[in-house]
Amino acid sequence: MKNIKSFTVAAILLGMISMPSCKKDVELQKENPVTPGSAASFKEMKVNTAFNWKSARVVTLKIEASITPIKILNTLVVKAESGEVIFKKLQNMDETYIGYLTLPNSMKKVVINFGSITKTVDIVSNTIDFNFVTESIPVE
Amino acid sequence: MKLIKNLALAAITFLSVQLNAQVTMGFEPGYTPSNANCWAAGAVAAYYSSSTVITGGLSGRTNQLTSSLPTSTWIKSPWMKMGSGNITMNVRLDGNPATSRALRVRYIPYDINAGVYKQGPAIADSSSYSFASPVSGTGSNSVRSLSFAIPSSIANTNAVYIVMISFMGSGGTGRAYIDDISIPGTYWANPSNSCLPLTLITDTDGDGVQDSDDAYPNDAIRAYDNFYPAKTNGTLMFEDLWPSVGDYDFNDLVLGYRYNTVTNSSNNIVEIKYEITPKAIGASLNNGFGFMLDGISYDNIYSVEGLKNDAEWLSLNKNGTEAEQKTATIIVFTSANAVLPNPGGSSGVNTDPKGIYVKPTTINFTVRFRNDEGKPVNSDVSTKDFTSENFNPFIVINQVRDQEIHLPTYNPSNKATSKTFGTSDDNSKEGNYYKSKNGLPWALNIPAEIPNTIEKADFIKAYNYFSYWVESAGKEYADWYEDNEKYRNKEVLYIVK
Repeated sequence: MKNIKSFTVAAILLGMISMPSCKKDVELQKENPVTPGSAASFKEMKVNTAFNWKSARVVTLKIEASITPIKILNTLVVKAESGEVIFKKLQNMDETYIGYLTLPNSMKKVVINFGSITKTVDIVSNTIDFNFVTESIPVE
Repeated sequence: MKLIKNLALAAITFLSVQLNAQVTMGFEPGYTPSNANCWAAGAVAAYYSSSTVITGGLSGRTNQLTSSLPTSTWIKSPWMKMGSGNITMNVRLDGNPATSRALRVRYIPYDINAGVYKQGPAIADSSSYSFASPVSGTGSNSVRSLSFAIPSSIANTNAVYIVMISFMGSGGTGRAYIDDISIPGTYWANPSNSCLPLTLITDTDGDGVQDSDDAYPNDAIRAYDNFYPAKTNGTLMFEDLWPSVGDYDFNDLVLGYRYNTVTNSSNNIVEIKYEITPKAIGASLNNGFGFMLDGISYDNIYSVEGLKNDAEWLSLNKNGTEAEQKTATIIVFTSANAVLPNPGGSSGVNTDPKGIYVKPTTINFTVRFRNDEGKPVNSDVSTKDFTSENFNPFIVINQVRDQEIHLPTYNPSNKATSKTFGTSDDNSKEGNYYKSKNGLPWALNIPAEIPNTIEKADFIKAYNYFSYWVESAGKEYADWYEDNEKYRNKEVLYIVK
């Protein structure tokens, strides 16, 4: 029992000592771009044969139709979160649309406007899924 | 006059809608109150229970009715122009304890001064229904078909109204259910404009895109501008010793690029306006530059306008694309030294910080897919079929037309000789061209404007996280090219001050 107690105390102490050191390692790793194993020159880089060297990828844009009693046409705008317009099209609200956009690999979300309807949409599995229904129903 | 015509046409469109003179809510999956159809609900939600559903898959269910105010529990129709006749609906109670339960139908007029949603006070005319005894227990949950006459004062006028159906009650915990609401009149709300009443749009060129959204409001052939990259120029960087590897400074030819895909209201490409800016030459070879539009046949191009390319090795089709190419191929310039000349006449421009900076000149030109009437040459090219992936840039090495360098994995053109593939350091394979035996490229495409390296500086010494990105197969530091803290080593970059 005593042994278990001593072991537990030792483990906690060890943990307390090693935790800041771990954190430091992570920081160091971030600060030092060339980590052990990384190449010292372009020629020495180890490249996965499937790597395509593209800094942008094709993303599928899926617009889900909403049933509307009349034809509602408006401009659908896809923007980066920082505001740049990526794509515009005239969209009929009750028509499904599937198209493709090329976006930087680092882009994880887009903002979609359709008139007064605005949504920030995550890019999941290289797909942007958008529908016109928002959480808030216009009420007074 | 044209504007008036388009406004009038829009009015005719809407008038034709009036023939379908019922606005309905059946609480079915895919059509329950939401911003997308402009039906609204307060303390009423779509719900299914086999013992209480009225028709179909869902009915509207109220909260427990404990208020006598009509503003506690309600359903509102979209804005509509009221027809004449009766509003009908089916309702029931759930049989749980209740002292009194009632329903009221009111009409809310449009009031331009009334808040965000412009809903004024309800008009005096209204209709009510009290659930007769029993209001709870056995027999109380039978379905009642209700009918309310639309007041003649608001029927068949041009004014728009919202129909508000409220539930009131006191005592007990009983709820009410509602379904199959049908209101004579014309739907007049715009889900894409906060569900406010429809307004006639101003569309001067009549292409269906309202002027405020139309980049070309007086041109029915063109509607939208779509820039790539969206924010700034992109950058193309080449090593030109293919099929041998070079010094990997990626500055043998450096180009800025951006293009605007102009589309019409049917989402078809009208034209692409290109801006190509030769920025640096770190080579002794005099290279040309062009690009293929992968997936687009040369005869789908109406014209290439604005280029002044000339060389013995270049022959063009009438439309300005390169001759003897199946895929549309545009040679932007034939001589890098001519478009970015070294003031001293020797080679190398904007790669030596001690040298003279040569201000680049942007080459602007347009590839048109449609003629002056907006008709395609062969078939429509939609943005669905054509993305920035189809942009396949390449250099023509040192004026030798059959020697090309493309981005890794991209196909060569018809003009490239197959004899060079697989020689020296090249390891090109069908479908996976322009990679060395170590998987390294001869060209890079960055969707941002970035500075090139100075002469002989290894590229990975300039961009500190580039090797992370490469060695992680793109999983780490996908933003390696950004100007973030510690991302760049400015000592080996050619920075224009």
